[in-house]
Amino acid sequence: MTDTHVISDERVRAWLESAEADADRRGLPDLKPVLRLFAQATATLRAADWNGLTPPDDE
Amino acid sequence: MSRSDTAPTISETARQLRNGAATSRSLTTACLQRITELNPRLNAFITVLADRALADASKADAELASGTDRGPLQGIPLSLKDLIDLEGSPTTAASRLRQGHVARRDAPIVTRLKEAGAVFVGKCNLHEFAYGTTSEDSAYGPVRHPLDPSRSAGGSSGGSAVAIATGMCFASVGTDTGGSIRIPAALCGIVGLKPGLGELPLSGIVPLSGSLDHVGPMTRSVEDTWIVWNAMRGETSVSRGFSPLSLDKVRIGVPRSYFFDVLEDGVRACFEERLKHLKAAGADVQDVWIPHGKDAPAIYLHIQAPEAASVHARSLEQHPDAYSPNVRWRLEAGRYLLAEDHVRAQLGRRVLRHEVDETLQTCRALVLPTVPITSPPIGAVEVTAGGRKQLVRGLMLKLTQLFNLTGHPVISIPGGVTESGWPCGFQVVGRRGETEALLRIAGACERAGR
Repeated sequence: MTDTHVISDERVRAWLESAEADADRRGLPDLKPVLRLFAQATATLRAADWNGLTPPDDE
Repeated sequence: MSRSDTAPTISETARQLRNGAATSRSLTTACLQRITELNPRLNAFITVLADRALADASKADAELASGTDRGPLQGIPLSLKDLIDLEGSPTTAASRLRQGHVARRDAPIVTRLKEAGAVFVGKCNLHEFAYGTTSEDSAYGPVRHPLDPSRSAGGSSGGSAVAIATGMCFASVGTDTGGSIRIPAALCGIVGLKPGLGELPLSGIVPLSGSLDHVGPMTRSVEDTWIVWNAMRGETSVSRGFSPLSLDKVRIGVPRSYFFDVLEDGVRACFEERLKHLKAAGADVQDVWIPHGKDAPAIYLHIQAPEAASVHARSLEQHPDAYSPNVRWRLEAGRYLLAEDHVRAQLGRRVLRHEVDETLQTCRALVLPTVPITSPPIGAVEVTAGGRKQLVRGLMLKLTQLFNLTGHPVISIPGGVTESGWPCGFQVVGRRGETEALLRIAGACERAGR
């Protein structure tokens, strides 16, 4: 996972832009690489095929 | 470097304490001498409790001499990761934020270890607030690998692993939120157990991520792990002894897909060699598949990061500059994640738990390497593995974090040494609620590898 990967999920891209802008506003540019990594993970999470499934009975 | 292959185990030493071949005071003195000799170079300890340890050792000797036998931990020098409360001592969590803190009471697991007669020689260095896999971001300086001080000992319980591997203590207590016991155990060539989720109390331990945190023992052998784990449970009647299982016809699963995609060549060779030993001991080794194992990192991050951010929210507002930069940025980023993704991750966690449970219905245990790489250089953000550059943090957690999500008990045992001389770890994963059975299987794996 690197920050050069393209995030195809538009909503995640919008989240990232907003978060990066907030990091800039707060004077925390070092936060932005971590936010990009998190955005990749969020895109993976949302693309998983188990989203929307009924939770398994695992207890 | 390491004395872990030659240094005596707790079980051997317990016999010596009872036949007069050793005293707790002599063992404790020897450990304190090792700390004096090695700690300036390796930085494994933040606090050394020399006077207190010697007094406790003398008390243990007196009790044994008078016929009071508390079991195999009595008089044995141990250490604690320095985010676990020991009454009257600082609990720094390796952070400037904790300066001036002194624990007012023992964590329950410390109380139990004291009741078992353990002697605490000190508190071990770690990655700040346990939020890292290398033990290099610490207010007290990085923990250094005994083989090469420019390399990481792994983390976050890095100081504990180094202390055991070099004979500064016989065992330690670490914590594991995504692999923090098993990763340093693997890189330093010792044993580390992450028990089942909720099996041991976390009270009196600085939290990182409440639903993923585990506390567990780090030792030199599986039998020693069994001894310390029993004491941490408050189980002192271990006179029944430890008996590894026979591996004959025991089915062992190997989850290759995704988990074996990126392995350093030496790590892969060590693992395959260890599998040969298991087969030679009669194990029925079969490949298995955890369908959504590849989703574990994303699921883990969306649970762990918000939980950690929640713990640190107030401190991040009030004292942001007191954190190590890397730890601060990870905590801050966790505050941006959306609640809807945290909820998604909770569903993913249940899916993974179900899949690992199902897989463990087809076999008695899973085995896989603990860490895909050997010890990285301190300060490295990326390393080359599998033919391309990869983030160190992602690689270090890749094979361990799944089982923090699912709550299964897992142990890392020494899994051989690469041609370059670096230790590798071999993970054994047991069924939920069956840590004792896991230890018996791991004991057999350990014996098969000798």
